[in-house]
Amino acid sequence: MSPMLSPSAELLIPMRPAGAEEIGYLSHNGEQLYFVRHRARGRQRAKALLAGPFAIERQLSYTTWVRWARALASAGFEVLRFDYRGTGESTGRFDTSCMSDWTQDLLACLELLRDGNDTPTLLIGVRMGALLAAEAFEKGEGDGLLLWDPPASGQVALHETLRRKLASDMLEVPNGTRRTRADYVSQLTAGELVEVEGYMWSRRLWVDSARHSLKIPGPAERRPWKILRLSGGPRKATPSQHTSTVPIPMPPFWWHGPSVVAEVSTLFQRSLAIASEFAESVGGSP
Amino acid sequence: MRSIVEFDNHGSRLLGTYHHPGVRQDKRQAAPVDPGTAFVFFNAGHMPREGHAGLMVQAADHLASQGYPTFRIDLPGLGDSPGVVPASIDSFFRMMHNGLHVSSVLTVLAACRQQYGFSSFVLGGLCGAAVTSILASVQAPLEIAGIVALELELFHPRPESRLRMGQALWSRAAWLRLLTGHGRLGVHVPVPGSLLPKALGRALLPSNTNFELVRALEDFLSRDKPMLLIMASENRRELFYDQVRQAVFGRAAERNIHWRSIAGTNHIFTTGMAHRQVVDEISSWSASHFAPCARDPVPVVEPLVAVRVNMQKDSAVEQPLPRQAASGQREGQRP
Repeated sequence: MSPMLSPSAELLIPMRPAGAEEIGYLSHNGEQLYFVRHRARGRQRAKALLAGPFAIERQLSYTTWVRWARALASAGFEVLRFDYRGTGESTGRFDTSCMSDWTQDLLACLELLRDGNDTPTLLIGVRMGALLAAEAFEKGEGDGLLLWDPPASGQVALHETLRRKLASDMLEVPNGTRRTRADYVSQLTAGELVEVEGYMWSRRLWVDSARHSLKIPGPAERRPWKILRLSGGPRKATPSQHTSTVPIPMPPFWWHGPSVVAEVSTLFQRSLAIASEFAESVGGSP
Repeated sequence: MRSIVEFDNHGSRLLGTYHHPGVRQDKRQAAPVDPGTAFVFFNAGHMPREGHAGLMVQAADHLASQGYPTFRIDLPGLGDSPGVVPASIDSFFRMMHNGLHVSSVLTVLAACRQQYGFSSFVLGGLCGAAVTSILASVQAPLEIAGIVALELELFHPRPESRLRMGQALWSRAAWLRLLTGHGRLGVHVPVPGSLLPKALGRALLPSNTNFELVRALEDFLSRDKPMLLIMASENRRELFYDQVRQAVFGRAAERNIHWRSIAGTNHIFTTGMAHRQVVDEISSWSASHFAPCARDPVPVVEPLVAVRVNMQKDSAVEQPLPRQAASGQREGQRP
């Protein structure tokens, strides 16, 4: 996907499918789960289920996520991405949903992707989606796992979003009543709904998020897996067999930045190399 | 109930979501009746079609429950629609203000008319979507029956330079602010002075005004069509709109624009519990201007069958998926 210049010399980025893309809804637990299936270009090597990020991070990272799905499809992967219930294009209420529900959504979409055949399937998650993908992998789902910048737990991710809310509060309502993160947490634990970046967070979401910590595969795990820490600055983590750091522009593509299309080609190249290696090692087509 | 829709856009495709209206179909009707007016919302800036925190989804669901067929469409390169997009947000907004998406909007309207028989449309959305809808209204004056403009931006998005002492005398922006009561000294303007904006009109508008957009809105209002304008109270977009209103639009605006101001929120309505208010405003405005549709002309695309899963793989109960799940050959789900 090379950039091009428009007649008025504006840098334009093509957002084109690699192959056929099918869009539809999966009926699950009384809701319509939105999915997009990207057919592999050429011979199919493996399948990949993409587990996307949480709420506001979903909107802001959407362009990158679509491009990533298309990059995988270009490299011979059949890809399925989807929206959790109560978010994006899926039906349902956000204020009654929680991470446990979204794990079920992920599993339902995994079955849809598998479509009854045994082609190796990779689970690829970013941020909160990485937590859910790791959780499914721990339960024996998927043949390989690639995580982009997983938080330590669901509640850590919510804490991070609350910290950003405090910053927004200060900017947008400079003379308003100042609240701390602890104030919002007490409201949530008391059962009140709290508006965060337009989403209504509930006690159920808050309490449930604490139960979802990052499930790092144990030493006995034979299936391939890798965690990529994404950082704009110095390395976040000491590289190891299963963890490494990839530089990306800051603020990260899941937060407000100056670009419509984030420049993450290094991340894509590294991740494609890992996915291809995984596909080969689990018996997919080379 | 929602279905996926797609439209051909000069060889590329535009994807979107259709919210089926809650109408009771009368199967005894011999001839199809005109389905009436459809609402069509577009991307808020470069965001996917759901809008910020699902604002446009909520609005569409609500309208559909009132009987209004509602589409939300991803414009080229945005959300799931293929196309090209400017790399930077600054470029995106500059090009969007210059009508980047107008031809795609017209394509959508033509397709909705041909494929489903809709005769008129209410266009809209937040910020960029409102700008594009107004610019498009010039080219489809008969079809566009109304506009829902959330946080309309009548100026080009380039920062206004800070004026030093004495420079304000030569600044149209400063005079416009002063004479429309928005400057620091605005309260001291005598009554005859407050008549000046109307007398000077467009000559008073500063250089960063999107003149084409202002003209398009004037043109729309001259046809006595209704517009719902929802703004975040006291932000620069609302203040500028009020200045332009006083200088250019006059009575046509008072007659046709239903202007609502929401306090304690931001440009994207994600604070101050503003979503509920925005949805309610759209809902009541629609009910007072448009009749719900008589029939739903868009075929329902049944979702795929649910898969029952359990976290324990061994105990998972799987149900076979219908083959059409993979074929993607049904309405709204083409490869």
